[in-house]
Amino acid sequence: MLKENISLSQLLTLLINFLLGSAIVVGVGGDAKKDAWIAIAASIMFGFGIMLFYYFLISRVPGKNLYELMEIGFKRPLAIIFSNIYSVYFLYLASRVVRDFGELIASAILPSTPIEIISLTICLLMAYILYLGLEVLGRTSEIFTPYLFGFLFLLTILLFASGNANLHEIKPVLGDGLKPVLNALFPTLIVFPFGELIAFTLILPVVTNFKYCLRVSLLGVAIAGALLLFAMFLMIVTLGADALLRSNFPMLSSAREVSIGNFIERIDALVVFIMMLGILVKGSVFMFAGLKGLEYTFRLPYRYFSLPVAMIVSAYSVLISVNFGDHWQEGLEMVPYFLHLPMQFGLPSLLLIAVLWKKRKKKAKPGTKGMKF
Amino acid sequence: MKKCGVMSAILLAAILLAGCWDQRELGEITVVTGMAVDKGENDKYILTVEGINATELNNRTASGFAPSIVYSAEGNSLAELTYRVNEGMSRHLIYSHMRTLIIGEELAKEGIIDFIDFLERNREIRDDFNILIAREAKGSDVLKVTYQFQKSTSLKLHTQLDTMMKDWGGDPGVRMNDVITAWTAPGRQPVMAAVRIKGDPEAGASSENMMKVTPDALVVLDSLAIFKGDKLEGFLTLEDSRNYLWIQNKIVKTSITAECSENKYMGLRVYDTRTKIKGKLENGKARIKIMIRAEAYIDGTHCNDQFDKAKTYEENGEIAQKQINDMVTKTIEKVQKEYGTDIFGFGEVVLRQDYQNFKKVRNNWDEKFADADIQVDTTLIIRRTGIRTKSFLKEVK
Repeated sequence: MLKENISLSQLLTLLINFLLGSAIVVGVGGDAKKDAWIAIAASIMFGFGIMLFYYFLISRVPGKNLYELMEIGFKRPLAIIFSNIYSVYFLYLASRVVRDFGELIASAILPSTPIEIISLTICLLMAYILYLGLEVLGRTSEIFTPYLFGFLFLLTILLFASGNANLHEIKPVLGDGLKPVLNALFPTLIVFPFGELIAFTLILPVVTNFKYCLRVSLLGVAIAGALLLFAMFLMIVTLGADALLRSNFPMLSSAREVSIGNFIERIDALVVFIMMLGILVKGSVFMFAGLKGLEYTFRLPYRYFSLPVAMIVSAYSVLISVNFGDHWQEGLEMVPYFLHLPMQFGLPSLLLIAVLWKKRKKKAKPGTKGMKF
Repeated sequence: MKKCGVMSAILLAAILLAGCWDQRELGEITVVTGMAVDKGENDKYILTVEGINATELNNRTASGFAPSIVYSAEGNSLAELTYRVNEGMSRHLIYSHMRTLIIGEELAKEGIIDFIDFLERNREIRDDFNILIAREAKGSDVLKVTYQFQKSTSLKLHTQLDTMMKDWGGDPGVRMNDVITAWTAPGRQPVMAAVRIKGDPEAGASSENMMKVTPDALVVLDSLAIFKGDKLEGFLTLEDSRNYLWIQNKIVKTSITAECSENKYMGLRVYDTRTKIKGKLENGKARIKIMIRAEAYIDGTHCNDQFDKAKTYEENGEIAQKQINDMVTKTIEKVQKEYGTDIFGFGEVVLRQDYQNFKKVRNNWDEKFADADIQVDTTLIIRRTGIRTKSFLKEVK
């Protein structure tokens, strides 16, 4: 198996795009209405905590990823079971991400194009990227990230220039107290998007300069959080809290408001670019995390699986729900509680305890053999 | 093996690059610029669309045919009707460039809220078109009237309202999303501009109407339609419409007339103005303070004022100040007494500035608005007087 490496800057851009990914498409923290941005600001703090937790977990045994850690913690048979569960989890999330994108395109951009084709094309692209490896994914996101900043900046300028952004829309701040903010925070905002950083436990070990890894990861969370916060702020001041809650894709709706001199109009394409980049990176990272699980189980390079698995993801992205409402409800009511919480915090905590215990045992009896990693 | 790869690459490229299902050629479409919705005779709505004939809009290619085609269809949902109108029109209709939506008065009086959902939900239709009420007329008749310059009424109205708002302020500058926000958000009721047909609607519907110096029919901006909830409540004058804009801090430029001495008037051009509103609830009574700050220049006077003295500026400024105070107060009082519906969004102001108290009166804010204590305070500064100081009127023999 080829040893792969990604640089720190690639890690940074991967993190930013990953966190923005579908969160910027569907909008997060809507429960808090006008104070959604406060909820996001608070969730960044939790994001730091979550990142620290995963880093701490991974750095216990240098160079080992989540699945290899499981082998240390629970022995291989159990680790295979867990890694398969994780593979399914990650691939399911990849399908959800692709579905988000498919719904966006099908309902707002190309209504007569079948969603199957949309999800097939983006999955083919992901398969190709992952076939070439993580390094290519890193470079892809590194190249396109400046455009993301550029477009977001442009969008802001245009929204303010066209007079659609009314800063007074955010008042009253915290009018109904802290309760709606807390409701938005627990657990939705914590597990999505920050809890999904669990996928990075497969990427962090292959970063070249592991020494600075933590710093860069936290910086990535901070930048992505700030962008999310800013995007939410922008959406609130352009759409107002009511329209924001009614929009399926608030970012797109706010971009549609831009109209300068009947000339600069319909700049949806900028937003679709931001979303497409986020979705591509996020979907690929999830798919990579899933593929790594297969690699661990079958002891074959993961890139052999990339095309078939991408096709499975593509098919499931269409099959996971019958309609948009189904998809939405599943994502808000089922996934956070039944999937995210145990997979993001339950199992990893268990694993951390097991690994720490094993390490202590090993330290206590330095002479003994048998602990082969 | 290699051949196979090349073949599959070509195949894939053919499938992936061929384009999508949503393409439309320019020759197959008609652009819809205006839409009118009226109360149906048998069904709920009559939808009228105006599709433009692009060759007639261009002066070089125009050959004197009608600049647009207007067609109506009747049915219960707009979503279906927008496609049903093809029973009379040949090409695909593209709604993304729609500029004007006209609602018949009859429909507005009965409550119009439900078809707006379609307009907001549809991906193709932008939500920032003008939304108007056809006063004492059918929306479809308004759409049919031709006009010399923009040729089609919907384009004419779009330009006209824009000009009006920039130069004087008769159009409330309301777009569809403003109307929806006013419906949904607490503390504000919607308004719309109202238009009327001056002349004979029948005669207006031909291209001969464009050839006359005084057209047989002309669509004129008439008044401000105000709503209570989803129902049309009444009309205010165009003057009120300007005062409404003033309260909304949306005036770009405007002109006012003030009486400088008995039966003698002066005109002022207000070119820079800002409005701040403060609102709070005191013992259950709403107190609204409107502070207007304006800069103006004298644009004509009947009085023999000496505009080379600073004092004259001040005196005239005070007269104008009082005039603005009176105008704005009168408009607000009229709405308070006759309609009792908060079109000015004072509720929103109170919501932002005094949320804890507003929560208690949220559901009956309109009552609180009706007996609110309104105070208007204007500061107007006259900066200059055109290119003359003293008026020649004094020298007239």
